[in-house]
Amino acid sequence: MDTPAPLRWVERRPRSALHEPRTAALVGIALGVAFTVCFLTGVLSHLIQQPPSWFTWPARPAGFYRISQGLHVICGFVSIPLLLTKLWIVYPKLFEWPPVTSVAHAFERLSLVPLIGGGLFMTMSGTANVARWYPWTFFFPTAHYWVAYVTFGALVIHIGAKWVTMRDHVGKASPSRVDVLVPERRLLLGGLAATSGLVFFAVAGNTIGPLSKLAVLAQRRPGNGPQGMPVNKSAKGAGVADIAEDPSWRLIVEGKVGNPLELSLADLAAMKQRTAELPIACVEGWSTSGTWTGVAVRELLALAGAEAGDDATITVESFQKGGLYRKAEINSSQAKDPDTLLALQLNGEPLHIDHGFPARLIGPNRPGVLQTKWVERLVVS
Amino acid sequence: MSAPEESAPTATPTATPTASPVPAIIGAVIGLPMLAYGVWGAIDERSRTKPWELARWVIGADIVHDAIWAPVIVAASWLIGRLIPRIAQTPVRWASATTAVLALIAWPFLRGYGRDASIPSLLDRNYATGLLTYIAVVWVIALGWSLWRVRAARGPVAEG
Repeated sequence: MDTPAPLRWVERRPRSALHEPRTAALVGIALGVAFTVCFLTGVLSHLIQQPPSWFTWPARPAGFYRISQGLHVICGFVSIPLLLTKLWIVYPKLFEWPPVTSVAHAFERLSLVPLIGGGLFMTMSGTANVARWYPWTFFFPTAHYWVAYVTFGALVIHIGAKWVTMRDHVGKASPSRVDVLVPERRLLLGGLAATSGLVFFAVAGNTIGPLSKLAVLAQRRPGNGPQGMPVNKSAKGAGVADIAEDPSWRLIVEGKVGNPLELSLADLAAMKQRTAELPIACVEGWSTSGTWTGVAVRELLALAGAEAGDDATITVESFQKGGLYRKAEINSSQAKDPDTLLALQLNGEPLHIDHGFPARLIGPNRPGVLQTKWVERLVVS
Repeated sequence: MSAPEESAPTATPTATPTASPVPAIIGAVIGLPMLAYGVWGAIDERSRTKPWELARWVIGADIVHDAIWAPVIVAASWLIGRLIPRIAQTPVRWASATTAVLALIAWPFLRGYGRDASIPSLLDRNYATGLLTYIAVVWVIALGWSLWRVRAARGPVAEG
């Protein structure tokens, strides 16, 4: 089959010599590493939020989640210049003729649709989520989660398909290590590293406090918010402002307990107080530490005579009416931790209503969405 | 000693002599079930994922890249080749591409689609100023790099 005229025209255009396998492989390796970090940290975050029976997320180290989720978001942003450069390098292959030479070749090319579309979707939808922009009707976390498997599966297929090419052009014995393109390729890779570095500095301060001043594209500024800490949902937005300030509020501890409790704010304040320095680590990448004071959940369990003792798991319920995150689980290892608190104070003051007044859950190593605010009930099982 | 492989030298004209199908098979055996799991999950949770709309976004991203983004980049690069003195072309290409990437990422922040009056701490920066500062730094670097290249080209050792 002859090459069609428009493709012959494309082929004759002068183009950079860097549309070649070694450059594609080197950028591809960097992108593969970034995507793998995103995939693993993303799956971990999903497991923590929707734990299957075989998965128990420990309470320690307290700041692990803020690191893993910060890494997820930073790697996602940094992979954008890597992905666009990789696509630029291989763009001429889109016009290959004949388009398909064998069944295996057809499969390999077809797998590029979920790989490229998925890679672009994952990075762009993640960016939109950090900017809280939802120009679609699907639920972002669920869509982002399932497309991750589609994209990563396609990536594994692609790595397999390109393994031999990669080895031939990157391996120690590869002749292209010393070819005539070396200076030009170094310029491209150096420029790409610089661009990726700029993207890193533009976003990383969301997680890494000292970089905050440089983080011109961060969602948050540490220290900005009620009591010096950002919030993701306000009392007004959650529709709880009136209930929160009602003095008849009681904390209920029930379920598999010998002695169900109904405690007022004054009762809780009269109990033994514990103070812990713990971060709020949002799935959207930002995190800030606060000093929280309140009653340890395990003290409440002991007072209520939890039948499972140390092995109890607890469902924490908010008086917030709707919302996907009005309930959260505390597994037994988190419940045992002395720093898993029903907090009444932040930084030495009673909780601001937007931080969950009268009482909120705060525990080490938990995603922000599981630090339930405006708590009204602990159900022990 | 017999050498059966050598008796059929034209069996696979497209493959290189060292190409082994094993890595590709391993990749497909691991990757295909993962991919299928993702598709299954998206369909299983269809009330949340809206699979048709989601598929349009994923495939649409492919099409927008291949039909709009990449041709614009190619055209911009061609224009730089026509308009900019040769010695400054690489710095200008880098600065243009970096500007495009930063602006792309910054877009939803600049537009402030996600602003929420009840959460003043959300999207609380001046994103336009921040983006312009970064872009200014990029072009200052490109200018300095170009001048450095001019100087290096004039120097006696650059005759090469």
